[in-house]
Amino acid sequence: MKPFRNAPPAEYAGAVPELSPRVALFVPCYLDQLYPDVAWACLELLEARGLKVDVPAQQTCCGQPLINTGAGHAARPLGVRFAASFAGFDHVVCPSGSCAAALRRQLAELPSGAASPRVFELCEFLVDELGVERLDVSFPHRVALHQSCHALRELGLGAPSELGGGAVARENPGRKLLGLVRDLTLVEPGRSDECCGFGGSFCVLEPGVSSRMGDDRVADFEAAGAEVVTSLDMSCLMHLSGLARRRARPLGFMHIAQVLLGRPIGEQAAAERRA
Amino acid sequence: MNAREALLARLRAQRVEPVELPALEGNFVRYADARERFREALGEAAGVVVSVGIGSTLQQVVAGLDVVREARRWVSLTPEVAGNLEAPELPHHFRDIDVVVVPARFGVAENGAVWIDGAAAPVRAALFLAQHLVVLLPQGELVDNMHQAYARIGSTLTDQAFGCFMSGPSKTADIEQALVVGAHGARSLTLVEY
Amino acid sequence: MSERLVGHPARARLFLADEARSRFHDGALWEIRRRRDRRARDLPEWQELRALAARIKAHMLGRLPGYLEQFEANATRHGAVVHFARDAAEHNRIVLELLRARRITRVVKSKSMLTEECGLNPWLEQHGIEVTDTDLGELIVQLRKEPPSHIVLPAIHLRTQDVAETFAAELAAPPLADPVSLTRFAREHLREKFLAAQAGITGVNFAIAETGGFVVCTNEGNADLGTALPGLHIACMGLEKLVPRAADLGVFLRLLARSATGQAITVYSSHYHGPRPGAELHIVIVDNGRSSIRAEPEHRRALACIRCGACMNTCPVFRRSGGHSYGTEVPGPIGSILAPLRQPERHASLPHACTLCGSCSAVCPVGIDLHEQLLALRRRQVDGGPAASAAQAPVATRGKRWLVALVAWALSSPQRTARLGAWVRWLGRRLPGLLRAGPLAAWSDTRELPPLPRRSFQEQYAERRARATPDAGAQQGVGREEPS
Repeated sequence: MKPFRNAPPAEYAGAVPELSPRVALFVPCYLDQLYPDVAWACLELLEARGLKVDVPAQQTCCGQPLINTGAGHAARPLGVRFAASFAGFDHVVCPSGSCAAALRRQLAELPSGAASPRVFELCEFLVDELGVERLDVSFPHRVALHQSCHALRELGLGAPSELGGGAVARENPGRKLLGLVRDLTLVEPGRSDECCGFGGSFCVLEPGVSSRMGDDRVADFEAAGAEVVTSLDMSCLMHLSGLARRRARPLGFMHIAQVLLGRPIGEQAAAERRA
Repeated sequence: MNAREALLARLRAQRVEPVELPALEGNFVRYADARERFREALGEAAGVVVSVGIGSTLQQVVAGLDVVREARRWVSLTPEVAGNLEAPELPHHFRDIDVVVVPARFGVAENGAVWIDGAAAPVRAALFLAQHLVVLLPQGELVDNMHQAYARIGSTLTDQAFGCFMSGPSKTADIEQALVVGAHGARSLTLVEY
Repeated sequence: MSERLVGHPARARLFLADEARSRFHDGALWEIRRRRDRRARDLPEWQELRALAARIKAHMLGRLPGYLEQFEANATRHGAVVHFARDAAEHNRIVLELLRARRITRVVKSKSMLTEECGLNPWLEQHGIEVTDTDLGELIVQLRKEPPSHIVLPAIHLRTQDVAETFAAELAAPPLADPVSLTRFAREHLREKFLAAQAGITGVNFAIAETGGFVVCTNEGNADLGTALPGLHIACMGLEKLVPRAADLGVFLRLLARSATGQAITVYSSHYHGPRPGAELHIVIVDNGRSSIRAEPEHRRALACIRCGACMNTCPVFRRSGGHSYGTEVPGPIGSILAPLRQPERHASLPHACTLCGSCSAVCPVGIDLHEQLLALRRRQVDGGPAASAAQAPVATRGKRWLVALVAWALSSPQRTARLGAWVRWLGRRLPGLLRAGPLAAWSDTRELPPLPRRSFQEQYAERRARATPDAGAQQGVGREEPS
């Protein structure tokens, strides 16, 4: 099946479905439960480009919470379920860098044989596979991009600040897409890619350090003049937003899919306040 | 079985996948102007560089340095320069020496270090007890990087019990990361190019 | 949570309680990390050097017994005496015997993490021998009777006034307010110690199998003064410090200082081959658990560590918790691997003192995949270690195992996940206090809760799925619920 490199023009999309690559959406469990709009936004972004996207009903978790706590063997059935639920698809798009990284690892652990789908983080897919060069949207705000660790260092979606001479790195696809949004001003924090401190179970095992790390990120973004902090990973933003709201900091936190659709910035914040 | 036998036996019994020793090849840094880079690097390390210009002799330049003019006792470890004292023979006797003049074999451009070996400083305490060091480096005796440095040292490395790459005066930042030049070794290093 | 996970988190909390100090610590180490970045970017061959270093160490570890013998033979030819020590106790006995036999009571010591590991100072002091640590940072912590908090910057957790107070209390120093005068004071104090010392103990940065020599790198000149004056030099090294060839030093010396402090090279890189004329050189090669690590394919590469400290400088957790939080002489990411390998139960909290951000692996000059090793150690806590390892029993508590099984069961079926998720959200909306209590208080102590929508995405999408017909094109936007 040919990959997406040059996406079919929108008017032909779906006309001959059996010849188009089959695309499915993987919905991280916490997005499903806590941030359904992010999943809708992801779907909207893909469908606006003429894709037919399936959302397999039998999917569950990528297994990261179990893997990262050392219970990798307990996560294996989840990897098997993932492969089964998404069998027959060529591309799986996931609005989370850490889940995409975990899914790739899960697939790598499975016995080889059956063709596996290729797993992409959302922005990676939009830029690399669909070749997005235009976005017809306005987002008139000052935005800071929080570079989540898994997306950056494991998926390689950007140039980590540790990189020494001789290393090759690509442009962060999220940064590229934000650059296509009208009226958006990208502001840069002092520390370009320091970890937010969420780290899954870390946030409750080491709450002191976790909170200090997050508070420092929030202060950095605020000092940079950001109105909105965005990221490829909502988990980081969930943690940062929780800290910012506790300290009544006036920052908004939106997943990049929401920014790329120009969602009103008050919407997510209102949802969080009602929680 | 003593500790040595036990350890070697234990290690030999382990299965470790062999990895080939790599050849030390690579695009290692070269400088269009090695001298410029050397001076810059030594400056970054708080060293001072002075040249012997036309019309001056090495002795004149060394004797004219501030640290030497202010010294009560200064010695030279090379016949090319004369101090105001003979160099002591015992390590502890260098405690009262203000300035020691020592020849270096060559410098390394990438980091401003010079190679001083045991032949240049038979009593190595001279290099560390002196309050100030004056290092003599012949013009052009520079390599670009450390790989070239070791190639240049070659088998002479084992001819001496001691050899040192020295880059600038001693320093520390152990108190609140404030850089203090002059820790336990020399408080200043002046490199004289001649 | 597990009782044993009290270790690092509790100590970190103490460190963070002093906000000014902990912020200073974080900022100071971040600045050093940035200096490292600038140096690394200056060298187009930086990645190549890292790869070379990793392979040289991997090769050396593969042929370790041969290289040890080669080193010993060559060192002996130059007039050094080589000793082997199985463990810390044997190392300490050997050093004590060397000193006792010569009736030595005054010793100066330059930085050696190995001697910290072996607890050498207290041992010698117990036996009436005065040991003065001569690295300024080490001197300061020695006077304060506390361990170093960083392997390269031992006193990074202290402020200038702490040092001033310590010098006044322990060395009868006059009131001194700034780093320069404090350093000058220490210089004079230590100068007398160097001159009066009867033996100098150093560590070893690199030992060269090909020549039987070794290298000691410092900025202060203290190792050199400690070995240029007394008649006895004792060099203590872990068996993993070997490099095969002198030329290999070119690679390691280019990586070490740049990674450690952002300097192109340390002020002094001293090469020793045999004793000074008229003096003695003894080299003590120590195992103390290193050979066990070598036996483990997954963790063997942790022995490549050249003790540069770059992983500590970059680790966001280390910077905000301080070296003393780790309870082991080598802290930070590498220490969180080495200590649990030796004592899994005592150091059970260390592999979890990490967000798996991967920055440590990105800076390690010898290419150790530190964060992957930490993850592997978490697995070992659940699954148990290999039969040959120090402790094979799983360390994870029954409570944790129970929780894992529960979570795995819940997530294994989409219906179960949906029901549980709906239930938690429903409960959270009705009884908000519930989600802030118990173990979840660790979240809510400092953070607001995330939103609890009425319907999950899958619940909303199910409607659209029901409405969809097989041959329809993309249905845009159908089914999205306004956030509520």
